[in-house]
Amino acid sequence: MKGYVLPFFAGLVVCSAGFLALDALLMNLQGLSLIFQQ
Amino acid sequence: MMKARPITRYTTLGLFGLLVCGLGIMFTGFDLSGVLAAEYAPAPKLTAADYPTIAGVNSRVAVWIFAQLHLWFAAFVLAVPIFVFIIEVIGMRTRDKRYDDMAYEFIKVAITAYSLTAILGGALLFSLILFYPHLFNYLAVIFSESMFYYALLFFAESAVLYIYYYGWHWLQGGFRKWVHLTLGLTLNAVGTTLMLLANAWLTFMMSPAGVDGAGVFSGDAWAAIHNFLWNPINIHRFVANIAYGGSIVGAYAAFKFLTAGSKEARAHYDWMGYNANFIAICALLPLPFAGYYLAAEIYAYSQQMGITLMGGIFAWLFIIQAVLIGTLFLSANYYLWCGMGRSDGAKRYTKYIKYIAIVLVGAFLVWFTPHTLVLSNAELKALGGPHHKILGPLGIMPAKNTAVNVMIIFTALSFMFYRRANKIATVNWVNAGNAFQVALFTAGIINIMFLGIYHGYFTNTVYKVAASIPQVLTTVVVIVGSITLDSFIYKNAREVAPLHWGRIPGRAQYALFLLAVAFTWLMGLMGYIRSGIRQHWHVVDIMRDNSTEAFTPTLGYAANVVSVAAIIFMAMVIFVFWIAQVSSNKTLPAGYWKA
Repeated sequence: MKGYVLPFFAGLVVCSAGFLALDALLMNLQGLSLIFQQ
Repeated sequence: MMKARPITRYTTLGLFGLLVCGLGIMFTGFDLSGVLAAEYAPAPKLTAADYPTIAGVNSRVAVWIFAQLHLWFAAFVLAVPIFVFIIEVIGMRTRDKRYDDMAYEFIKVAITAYSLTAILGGALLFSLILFYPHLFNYLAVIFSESMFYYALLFFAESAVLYIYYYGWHWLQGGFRKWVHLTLGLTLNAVGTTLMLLANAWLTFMMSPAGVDGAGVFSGDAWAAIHNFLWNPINIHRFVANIAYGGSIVGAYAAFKFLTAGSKEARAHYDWMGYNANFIAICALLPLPFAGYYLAAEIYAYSQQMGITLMGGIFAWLFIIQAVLIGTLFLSANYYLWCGMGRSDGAKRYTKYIKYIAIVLVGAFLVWFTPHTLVLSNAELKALGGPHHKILGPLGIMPAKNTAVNVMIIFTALSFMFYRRANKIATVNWVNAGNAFQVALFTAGIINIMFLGIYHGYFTNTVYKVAASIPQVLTTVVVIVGSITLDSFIYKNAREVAPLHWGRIPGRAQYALFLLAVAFTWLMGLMGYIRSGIRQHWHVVDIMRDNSTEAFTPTLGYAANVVSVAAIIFMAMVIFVFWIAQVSSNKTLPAGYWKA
């Protein structure tokens, strides 16, 4: 169980941070392109 | 076994490269040889008298059915050589003859279908010339060169296909196999170019280019080909064709499985059905994104066409589309779950299937929840409007995007369970690897839900649409990441026991039939929508349709026409399957021939 719980939470933190970074990057890139178009 | 020397391999590939370059020059060179100085007439302004009536035939329905039947067969015969080529490569790399035999059997089914494609293409051409002569003439002037090259490429396609098929057993081993593979690649290059040309003609009718406001052609054929919707349709059709081709050969394998007389034959066709379903799923997973891109581009080109597409008369056909797409996902998953019975180790995973089924059904329900309900006056009054207060929010695109991404992720999960069913991992970090995989799925699903809910309901419309891109990328990261991790976890894995090919219930084969039928019907209905959004225009805003049939029929009428066409197509497909079976039967009539 110990060998499972720790990697799970570590993985959850790493993956969540990665996905949030991806979201921020893509949404901001699109936001910037909208500003430049205007 | 003799291997081809590198020099001969490179020579073969070099020759192929030259051929591709030649095609490329031909393709991009239309405008170079175009008759730039010629005078072109504006698009004709027609009256009802300009549309011939022949033997009381409804011209629109005739063209509609011939075009649809031609398209179904064309999708099939263009897709089959793509995965036949890939299977042949796998056979060459692994030197497992079963792959080569399976590839040959797939192309054997396609060869009869190829003749029917050509016959139906001819019927479509004649019906267009007879019933819509002015439209055909207008398009033929603009696309004269591409139509000419299309005819040449058609001959090339036929020649390569016949050498590829009839030379299969002749071109075996060493250099000959490389020649055969090169023929397969050439066949695909020519077939795909044919599709791209035909796509240009139909997308020109939706988003005309290379003409002025009156329809006067500028002489630049490349501009007319490379119109706004050309590439979105190219991508969507290319992916969809592969999924469709996989589903039809899956139905063939199911037909052969159910009629097989021996255990060996059942095992063979079970394996074939599994591979066909795998191909169909691989292409089905990116298909909703290709469709979304096409729809977004239609909106970008013309808001009017976009609103007609999903917010107007055709919106309810999208509900049927959603039901059919849900059917595709459910039947593909069901087939995988049944297929786990081939492995003795599957029982470790079967307990999770019910949860996948619950999620898939839940996502399916969100996927086809309509935005605006069709209600009677009394119902409207009772509800307080056409939107249900709880279910209404599920009718908009962010909810659909979230649902389809979840469906795709869980289909990938079904596939991963199937892959794992017969393996036992031997690496010592298996628990940590599994935990990380679960974390990846959990974080991915939370992110998809967050993007769908937050940007879909709490930000402005621009972000609703924009959020679909990170949603798709999240899905891609989850699938690619987990499959990559899986391949490391199961490196040097032990097998539980040899797989029992053929140990699958008969009902799983009906899931394969359902996949093929749902795909066919779906393509017919969506094809009608794509064409129908032109409404009363032959060529949007350029050439008006003034025939007596220039109206949008009721959805019931359209669905009936598509259903009749689908039944005709299925009858023809059964004929193709039967012919493929007959060709391997032999009768030895005793005493008939002279000794």
